[in-house]
Amino acid sequence: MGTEAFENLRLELRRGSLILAVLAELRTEQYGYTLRKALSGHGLEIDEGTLYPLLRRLETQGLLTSQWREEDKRKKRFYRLSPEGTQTLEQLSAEWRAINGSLDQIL
Amino acid sequence: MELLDRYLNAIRFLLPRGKQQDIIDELSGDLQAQVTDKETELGRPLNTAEQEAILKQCGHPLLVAGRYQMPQQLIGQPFYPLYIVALKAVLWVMLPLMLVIETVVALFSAHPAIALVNSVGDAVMSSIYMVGVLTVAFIVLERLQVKLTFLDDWKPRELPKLPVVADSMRIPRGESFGAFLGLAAFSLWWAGVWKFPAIPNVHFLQAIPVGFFWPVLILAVAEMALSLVNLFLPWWTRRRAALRLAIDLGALAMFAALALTWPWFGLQIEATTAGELAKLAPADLARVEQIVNLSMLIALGGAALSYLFRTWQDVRRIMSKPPLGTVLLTWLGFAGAKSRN
Repeated sequence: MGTEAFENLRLELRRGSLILAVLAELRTEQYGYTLRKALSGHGLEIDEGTLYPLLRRLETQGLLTSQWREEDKRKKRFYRLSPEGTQTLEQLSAEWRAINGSLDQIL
Repeated sequence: MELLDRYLNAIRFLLPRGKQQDIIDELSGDLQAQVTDKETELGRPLNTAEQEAILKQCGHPLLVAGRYQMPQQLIGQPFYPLYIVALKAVLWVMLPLMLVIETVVALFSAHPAIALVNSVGDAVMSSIYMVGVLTVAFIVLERLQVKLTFLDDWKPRELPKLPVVADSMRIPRGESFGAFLGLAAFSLWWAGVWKFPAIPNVHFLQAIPVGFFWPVLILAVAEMALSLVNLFLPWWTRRRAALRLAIDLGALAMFAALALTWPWFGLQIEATTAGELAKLAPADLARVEQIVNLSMLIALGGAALSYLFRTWQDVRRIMSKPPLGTVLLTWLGFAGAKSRN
């Protein structure tokens, strides 16, 4: 039960941070698979079943724009930050740094 | 990559309609890229176990599909996709089943017409009740945080096989042969060449008006000829679809004209002895007549519906649109179904 509770809390903690990481990575245009690899390269593993619904949600919220294009003979959906997303990323980054600073003091 | 197709198909079935293809295309691209990367790394094609590992890592289809659903207040993940499947089962299987049962029961009641109307109401009310019970059951499961172990312990190779969709222009030979035999038997009976054995002392009155004799026979023979052609050239052409459309429209017009002459049959039973005469109550005779006429009216209604459906199919064939079966499978979420060519 302890492990399950930890797992739930860990997922909750990760969820918010992942959104920030995804928005930051999409300052440059990428498609899902390369985005996942880029995040993984930074130590943030995210499975496709979590990433794609998240991308869609962020797009619905107007923070991302997407476009289907063909690359290497395969159709791919490319995502990038929208102007609204850029503004939100700046606000969230400031918030993150403030929380991080506070937590560093507490922990 | 049959396993990948089966996996994507299982997810597609649970996705919100309208977004299915877009989501599947994106997910498919990612999974294929993973497979390609892994194959490049190993320098050989992946075996089934390795393909399964990639799919298992992506997650159970129910969980993956559930993440694309809008967040729900009452029934959350992973129950929501299951709830939708259960709802579809209730509305698409239970409701028609109840309607059929209630209709049969109504036909044998004292006032079939009233009972028929009531039975539709009863079936709809029962369905609403079942939807309510289902919703409450899922809310309870959600609140109790019941763990669905099968979401972790699953095997991609046990996912359902892809449904096979028949080639839209192919005509099954069995169907043509069956239609030809059925129509031949009907035409022989209609023309009076082949007679059913008579029931002693029972006479049918008020036969279908004689004006219908030739139109029915011409339509039956025309369709028989078309079935014969379809038997040897078993694929649809626009010309043959147009020909069948003409037959369908003729049949529908005839059904409408025939319905106006209802009731079609009366009965007369000869009593051979005074004892038998005493047993023949006029009310019983009227009841038998009513059942026979009602059954024939329902049969005519069924035939009209089937011809209406065929008309729609023929129009689609003439316009080179996919048949309704394929459209239905797409609607149900099987758009990636394989074609049996």
